[in-house]
Amino acid sequence: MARSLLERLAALERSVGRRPEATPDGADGGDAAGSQAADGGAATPGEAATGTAPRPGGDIVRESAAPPGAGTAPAAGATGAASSEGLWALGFRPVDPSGGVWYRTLRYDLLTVHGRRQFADLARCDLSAAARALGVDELPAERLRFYDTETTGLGQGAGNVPFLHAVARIEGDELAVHQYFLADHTGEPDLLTALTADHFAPGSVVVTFNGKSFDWPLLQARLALWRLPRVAAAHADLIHASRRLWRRRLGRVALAEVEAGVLGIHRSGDLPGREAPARYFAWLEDGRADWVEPVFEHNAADVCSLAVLLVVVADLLAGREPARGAEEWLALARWYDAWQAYDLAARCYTGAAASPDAGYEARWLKSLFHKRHGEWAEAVGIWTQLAEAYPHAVPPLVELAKHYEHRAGDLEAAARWAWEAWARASALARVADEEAARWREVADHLRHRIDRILRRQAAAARVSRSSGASPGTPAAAPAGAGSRTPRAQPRG
Amino acid sequence: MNLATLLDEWRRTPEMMRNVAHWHVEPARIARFRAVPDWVHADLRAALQARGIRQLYAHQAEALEAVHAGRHTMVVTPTASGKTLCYNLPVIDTILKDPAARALYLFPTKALSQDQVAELHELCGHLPSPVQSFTYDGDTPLHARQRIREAGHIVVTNPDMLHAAILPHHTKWLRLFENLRFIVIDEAHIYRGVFGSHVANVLRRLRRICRHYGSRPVFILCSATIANPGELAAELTGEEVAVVDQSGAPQGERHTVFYNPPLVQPELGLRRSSLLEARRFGTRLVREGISTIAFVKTRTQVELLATYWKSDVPERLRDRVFGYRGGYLPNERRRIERGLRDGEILGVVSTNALELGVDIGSLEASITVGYPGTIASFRQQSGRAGRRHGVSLALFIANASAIDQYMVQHPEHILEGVPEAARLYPENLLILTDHLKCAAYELPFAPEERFGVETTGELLEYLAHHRVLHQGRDGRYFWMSDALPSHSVSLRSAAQDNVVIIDQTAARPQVIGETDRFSALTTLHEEAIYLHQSRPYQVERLDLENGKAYVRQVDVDYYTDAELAVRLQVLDVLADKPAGAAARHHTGELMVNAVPTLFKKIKFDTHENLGWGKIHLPEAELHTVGYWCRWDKRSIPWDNERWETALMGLAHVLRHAAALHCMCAIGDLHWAAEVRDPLDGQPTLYLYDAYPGGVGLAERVFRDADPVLSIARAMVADCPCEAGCPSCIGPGRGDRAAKALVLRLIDETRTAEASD
Repeated sequence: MARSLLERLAALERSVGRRPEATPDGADGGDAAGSQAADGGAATPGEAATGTAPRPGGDIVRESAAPPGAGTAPAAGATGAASSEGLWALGFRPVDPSGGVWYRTLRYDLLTVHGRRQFADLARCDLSAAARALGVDELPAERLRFYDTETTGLGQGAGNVPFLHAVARIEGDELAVHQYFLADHTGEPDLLTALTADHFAPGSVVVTFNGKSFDWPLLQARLALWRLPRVAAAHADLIHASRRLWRRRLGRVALAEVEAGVLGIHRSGDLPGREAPARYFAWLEDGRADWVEPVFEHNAADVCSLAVLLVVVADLLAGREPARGAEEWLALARWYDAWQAYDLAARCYTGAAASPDAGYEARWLKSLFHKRHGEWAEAVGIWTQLAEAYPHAVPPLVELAKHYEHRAGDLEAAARWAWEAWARASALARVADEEAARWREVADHLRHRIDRILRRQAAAARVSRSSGASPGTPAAAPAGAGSRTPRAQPRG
Repeated sequence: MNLATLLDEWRRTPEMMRNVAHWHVEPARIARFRAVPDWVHADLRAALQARGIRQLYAHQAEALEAVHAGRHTMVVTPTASGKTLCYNLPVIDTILKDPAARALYLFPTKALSQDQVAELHELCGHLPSPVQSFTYDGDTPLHARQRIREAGHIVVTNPDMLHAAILPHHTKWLRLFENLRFIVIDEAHIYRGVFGSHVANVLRRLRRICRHYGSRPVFILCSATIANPGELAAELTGEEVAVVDQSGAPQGERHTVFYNPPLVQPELGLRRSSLLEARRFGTRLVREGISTIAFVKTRTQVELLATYWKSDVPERLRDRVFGYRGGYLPNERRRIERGLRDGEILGVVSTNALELGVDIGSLEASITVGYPGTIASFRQQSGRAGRRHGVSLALFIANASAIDQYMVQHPEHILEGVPEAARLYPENLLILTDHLKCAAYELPFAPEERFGVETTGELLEYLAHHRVLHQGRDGRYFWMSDALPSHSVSLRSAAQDNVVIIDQTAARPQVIGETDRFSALTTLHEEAIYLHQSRPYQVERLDLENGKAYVRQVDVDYYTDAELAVRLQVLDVLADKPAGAAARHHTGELMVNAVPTLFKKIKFDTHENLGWGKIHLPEAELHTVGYWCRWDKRSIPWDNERWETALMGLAHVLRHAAALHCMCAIGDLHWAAEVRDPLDGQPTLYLYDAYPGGVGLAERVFRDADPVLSIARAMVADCPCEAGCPSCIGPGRGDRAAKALVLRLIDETRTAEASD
């Protein structure tokens, strides 16, 4: 009657509602296996070839024409071969005799068109403004390392293993994509040693999409885990710039959305990134390369897109390509503003406000820019327009009230705007939502403002009566008179 | 009226003294001092002087020397004996001498760690060079975490955080783990039972990671008094540990009063309710301005007693009386703790949640309502009253249960007895396997590596078979799943998730507490009355699937009490042995199916039954380890009815005796009895662990069946009742011979040598 330890454990796990994970003979993952076996195999993406000639060279293991993922359909005929065979067919070579780490290079002529750009644009474009926006000292084209990983899970935990690393870089007149595949967990220290020695030497600049919070700290964690020296490199993460430029247009700013919405790259048959872990686990189970082949393609396509994305960002920032839409203009304006390049900023704010899709925000930010620079006529013009065009907007009215009270010294106009602002804020405070309390506070402030204006009006009236001055002249020297000179104090 | 005067008054009141079974006075004790050792860093000596500490208590000096000699050390001394210096001194001394050194402090709860950091900061504030200590818990802001990981000399956290946030991310804590010199575990006695089993496994993971980074930290543990400090420390840490257990701290005069409520119906053994007595005593103490804490067993009782006190004390004191228990939200608890420290709060009713060293200052009186299950626990509770100086009172009010009656009649057991051993069972298969997964996530396993147990290799294979792990080419096992295993493992509750309690009285629903799933079956079924801060809420809907119970405030004068129907099945007999001439003890695996059936509505104050309702909830299943005894029915010439009376009575008392013997809560062991067991039609009595996979309690009952039966026999025989009463053999036995039947059954079951 005695049961084995394992039977007991299995029964226990079931009893607490924990489904023991599927056994290898279970149906789990079977679907993926079927579909992959059907269209997988050693793909030779010969389509859309731009005609690069094979290149000689020791480490060139695979010549590829089209950027992966850009319209490459896997060739038919699953190999289902044993592990090493399948990887060989995909152009991988073992890094060490134990076969724990495999490596391949994909090479693309710099003239290859990827989306709306060529890789060659990277060498041609002006990267200095982009460097500034991305927070690095410089972006030397030949030392850029476009880096992306595929991992077994999410987060930064010690059990999340990056099993595939890609580094794209310019080598001569080619963009080379170097891929390192962890065919067996055992090989990770070797992989990391090779990867960091080959690509992350001092002076290199890592370019990623969301790498600052994911790929790069994860790489450092793996190095720490295996007691290997950490690597230090300048790091430009494109996600923040992309968010600033396109969040509104794209909604969700992930690389796939940026590719489709901005870069003009449309992947067909691409593997969704979230399926990568299951593919890798399936590979570990049976060593069939066709499980992971779509992951290789996906990963290589990612780093190629990074190169093109950097070009697009750089061209926008360098003014080589005009911005499209208020959102892009505003993003640029705010960068220039922060760098105190006020002429450029002014032009971009104007571009934003003049853009057909310009909304409240574009005009409002432009008005604040004018305000900071003491360009009152422009600012007041915009505020007045906004006050009319947006019947619920309060801040432009507050600005107008402040302006007329302190600068123009027109207490009557100040009172009029303050009353209107108070009425709007009070109306908003009556709406029962999270903002209500804030609007109540705004309304209270306005109440004080109005009281003060009224007091000043009354005082002015007394002064004018006793001095015999005609009513209507400014009652007192505007408090803000001294600040009429432009103040060049941009925020941020 | 101060406490001393009040105690005098009580002593002169015959009605009071009639029910006092024992009044013990422990005279004040003076301190034993030793010099601060020479090797202690001069800055630290100066800092101690600045705080007015010129010499150490003897036990502090002893601990200091042991740690200095590199020995793992366990300090076991009473509450308020200055235990914290036992670890703060060697840790700070080491950091002053080597600023790269790091220490990790573990406290069982967040509240405790915050108190500790405050005290640590105070001491460190007197040092010329900075010693950085930080609390790292769920409330630590994200931006501060990076700095703590890099710069914190002393990281103060709790086992849950260690388990879920630090160990799985050990690569970020490189600096800590490379330089870890000390691991401090305070309140170590808390780590027993299921929680302790989890924590022992978390510490296995911690040691594994230290080994990986090449550090060999010294463990310093502190504990309340328990019988087996060395054993507990060794089980927790996996290392041999030196024990320091002679306190040199002073203590004020302490009165320990054993109060047995009067019998109201002698033949049934019915006594006045201990809760109502606590209501009377507590109200009096609070009214006299004496700070008082009462400990009760259940959350419901907390609410009941707090409500009583609130209604009985004068208006002006009403806001100074509170309830305190698990299930309150942290800031609410924090507010109460602060109130107790400031003296703002005069009376508090708590579950054992306040047994721990949460800093609530020093109270004057403690009331223990019903024996808390262990001597250690009783001492912790009474230690809450009276610290170093002044008179203090520990009042024990017995209830009618067998255990309480045994205790109140054997006060020497509590006063002089060796406190129980704290046991844990890190080999519980479920717990072990869960942590094995977490450990594999953190670092790959070599095939020959051992994780506490011999069977590590087998378990690794099992996990690899189920595709949780993958065996690499060099034979090592690697984590192979995209999930983070620690996320699905909670150290505190059973294997299931918790149910949160949502109050939808107001327009905006609000979470007011939580409870584990198994308890939810009996406390949060639809129509149940859930009490929170003395306010009754009615459960409107229990959504077990999503772990939510929706409640609404109601105005009622009753509470509810639910019943479970239980079905048992033996899965596997692990061992058996003869019990007397015609019975056998067994231990093995059981499957228990429990379904809540109905609930009773019980009126506040009078506790009368107002009616009942049905509960419609799915059956809960429990795989566990049990002990059972099976008799040959023909060996005693009883009819079915007599057998049933004897079995039920024995089950009742045996469960109490077993809990006493195993140092566990009564609720940790469940029982069942069948006159015709489905397996072979013989009378059978079961006791089983209330936790999936078992935690070693029932196995212990099997091993020590004779001593446990002897305790049970004493509980029945010593009871003053004539024919068996609810306090000894449980409620509802009509048979006038019930007591004799139970005694006969016990005698038939004990082996000859054990009889007395």
